[in-house]
Amino acid sequence: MILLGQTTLIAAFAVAIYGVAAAILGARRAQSSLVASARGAVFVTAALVATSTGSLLWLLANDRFDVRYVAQNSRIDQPFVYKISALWGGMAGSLMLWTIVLCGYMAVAAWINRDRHPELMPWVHAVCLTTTAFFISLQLFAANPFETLPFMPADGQGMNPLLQNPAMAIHPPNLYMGYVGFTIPFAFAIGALVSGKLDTSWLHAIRRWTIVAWFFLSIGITLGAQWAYVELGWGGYWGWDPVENASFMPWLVATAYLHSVMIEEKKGMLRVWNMLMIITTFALCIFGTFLTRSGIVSSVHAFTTSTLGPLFAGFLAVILTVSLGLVAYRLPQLRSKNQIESVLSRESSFLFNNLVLMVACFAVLWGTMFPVISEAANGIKITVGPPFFNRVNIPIFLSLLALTGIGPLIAWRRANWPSLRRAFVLPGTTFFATLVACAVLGLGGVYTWMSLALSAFVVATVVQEFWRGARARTGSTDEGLIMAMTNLTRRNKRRYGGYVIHVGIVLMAIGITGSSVFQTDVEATLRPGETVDVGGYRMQFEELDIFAVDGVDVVSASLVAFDGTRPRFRMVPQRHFHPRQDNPTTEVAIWSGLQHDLYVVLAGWDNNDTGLATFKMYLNPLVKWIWIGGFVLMLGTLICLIPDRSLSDSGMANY
Amino acid sequence: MNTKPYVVLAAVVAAVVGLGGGWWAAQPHSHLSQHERLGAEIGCQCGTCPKRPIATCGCAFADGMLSELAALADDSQSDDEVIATLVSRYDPSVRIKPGSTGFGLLAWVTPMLFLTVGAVGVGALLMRWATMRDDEVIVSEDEASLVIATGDPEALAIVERELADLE
Repeated sequence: MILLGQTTLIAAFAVAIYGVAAAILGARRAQSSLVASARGAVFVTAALVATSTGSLLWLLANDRFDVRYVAQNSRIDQPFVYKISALWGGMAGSLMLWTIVLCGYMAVAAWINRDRHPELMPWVHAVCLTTTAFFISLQLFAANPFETLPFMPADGQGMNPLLQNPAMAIHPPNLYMGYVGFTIPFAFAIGALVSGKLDTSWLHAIRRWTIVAWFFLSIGITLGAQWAYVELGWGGYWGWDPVENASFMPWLVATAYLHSVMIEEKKGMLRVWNMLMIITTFALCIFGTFLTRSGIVSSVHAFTTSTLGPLFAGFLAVILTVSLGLVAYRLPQLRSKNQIESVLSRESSFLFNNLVLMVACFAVLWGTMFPVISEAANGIKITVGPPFFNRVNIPIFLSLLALTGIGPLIAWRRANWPSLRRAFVLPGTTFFATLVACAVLGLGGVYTWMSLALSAFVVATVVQEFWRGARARTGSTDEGLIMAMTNLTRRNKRRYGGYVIHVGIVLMAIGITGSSVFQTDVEATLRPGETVDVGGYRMQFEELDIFAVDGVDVVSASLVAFDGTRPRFRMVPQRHFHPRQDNPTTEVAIWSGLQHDLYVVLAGWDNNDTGLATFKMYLNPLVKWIWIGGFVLMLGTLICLIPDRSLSDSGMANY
Repeated sequence: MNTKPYVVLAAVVAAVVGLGGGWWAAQPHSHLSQHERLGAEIGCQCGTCPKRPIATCGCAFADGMLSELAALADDSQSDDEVIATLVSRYDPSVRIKPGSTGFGLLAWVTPMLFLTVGAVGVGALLMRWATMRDDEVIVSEDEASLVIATGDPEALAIVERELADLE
């Protein structure tokens, strides 16, 4: 199986290189047989990489510890699901996951477009296969997952216990589906630039690919936040860690693109800008992969320092040089003849939305790289942590929230004052009413008031948009309100799906505001029977227990939460001591409700039979709304992805 | 109308606002106690967490650092003195918030400058486009009557729309 995995990986590399050459020659000489051969190379490469990945999975499932990667990331008594997820638990395996996901995407794209876009597809194949060949080469020459040991260890080291969590089992594949998914839009963009076919066909071709990639990246980021909340035991979900930031940056730019592309579709404008957005998104995906594997910044999520950094930096340099060179070359053709007609238009609000999203991305990138920049500039590494990111980004994200509400209220092309007044009455009133209510109730500070008031503003905007559309339908048809809203959404899924996404963002904003501003925490050292108050709860410590489960030593504390005099629920925070791991893991006890989460960490205990235990307890208001907002966001994205019947009839639904 | 001076003026104002905003963001929160303020600016040095603020980290190591911080604050040391002491005990990376002077200030100012100057840039671009558009839509009476005479409904709709826009 080791030989099979290694051989198929080498063969995949060779076929990918052949495919690149065939695609480029086929496009240059207009030889359809060569292009067809390149397409065949895409499928063969995908099949070979799938076989190689299957081999590694087999080795992991069968405890083949003579393979270094298996020995480092698995052990005999590791649960089966985590033996499988060990595929992406280490450096070499994660590169293999990148490759197999890319192969899946490019094979589907090649199949769907086998009879479409003849000018673009050879270049799409060439770009996808070049990227695949790069990732395979990393595995063959720098981080080989099939490298063997000269002996067979009795057991492996096991995967990092922090990664043995259900969210972590599905978070990386989703994140990679997002990262890698942006390769397809990038490949089409390069295809359009090289072939000179710069009409809107490439935009239509990548619309769904972009939304799909954005969808998975959104899921991946949300799951990552939930994993951090449940597993890391510090009471929060987002620490502005460089690796978290690496996933957030392409999401921000892709979000900007999803808005600005509408202007290109409607008016043929911002063509250079959109091209740059796609290139930047893909470059940031590669940059994120580089950041995680280069050791250039320190992060708990990063893989161990490796020699891959310069290789990724080189690949990134090639991507940027080639694609920006092509943009410069095609600049005369990319220039738009149209202009925005009025400053008071939805196009303008989208431009400001793009600006704010790009500033947010820049602020995150700047903060992430500032330690490196400061060290290079003056020899002193200035560390940048959450205080910087929070303070810089809060006003930026509040601006974004405002634009989320303002955009839909302004007409395309040109708005006039009377229509603007009508559109802003309800949302504006809601905004000011919420602002005053927050101030009167003394809820936090100005940022909190603005966050909650702007959230209410966006919700009022969305409700008004649905209400107006539905009312127009009920007036012209015999549909009831609910049916009218449903049909409204069915007729314009992208628009109304987008509004649902906005509601998801608002729910997340409310959750983030509530849990950041109103979090209360208590640290207490208790004897059995003693109590401590947290928020409205009285927590009574019952007992401390020490036992072993599946080779893991467990220190477990039991507490009962009282609401007044009535016991409500029991909480059992633990510490796990895993074999062959230096530090114990924190197993947080969380009681989760719509109003708040009660979050208890076993921080320490006395080993001298006194029964004393120290707890960190957090009351995190509204955290659950972050996860609910994530679900709503996904629902909205799925609505956007439902094919239109008119497009299905014309054969365009597959785009 | 020559809009160039206004754009330059707006850019200068934006730069000043950006610099001022960045400087303001770099300043410490004055309403918090020194213990609370520095607890949010000092990163945990346990080596396992990503240098979370010791005020929120929750690990035993962070608790120890909080105790040290409290002791230093009780000695009536200034923020800079407390940080200098902790840097000497641990590592320069103990401070997870760039300073409000010197190179650290650059960290704060740059994103704000990007935002304000970018906003002026986008605003100027929009104004320019809108002005050019207004210039373009002025259709002479002769041209308009020619279009109307040809009876092309699409051309007629464009002219009517553009004339309506002028009102």
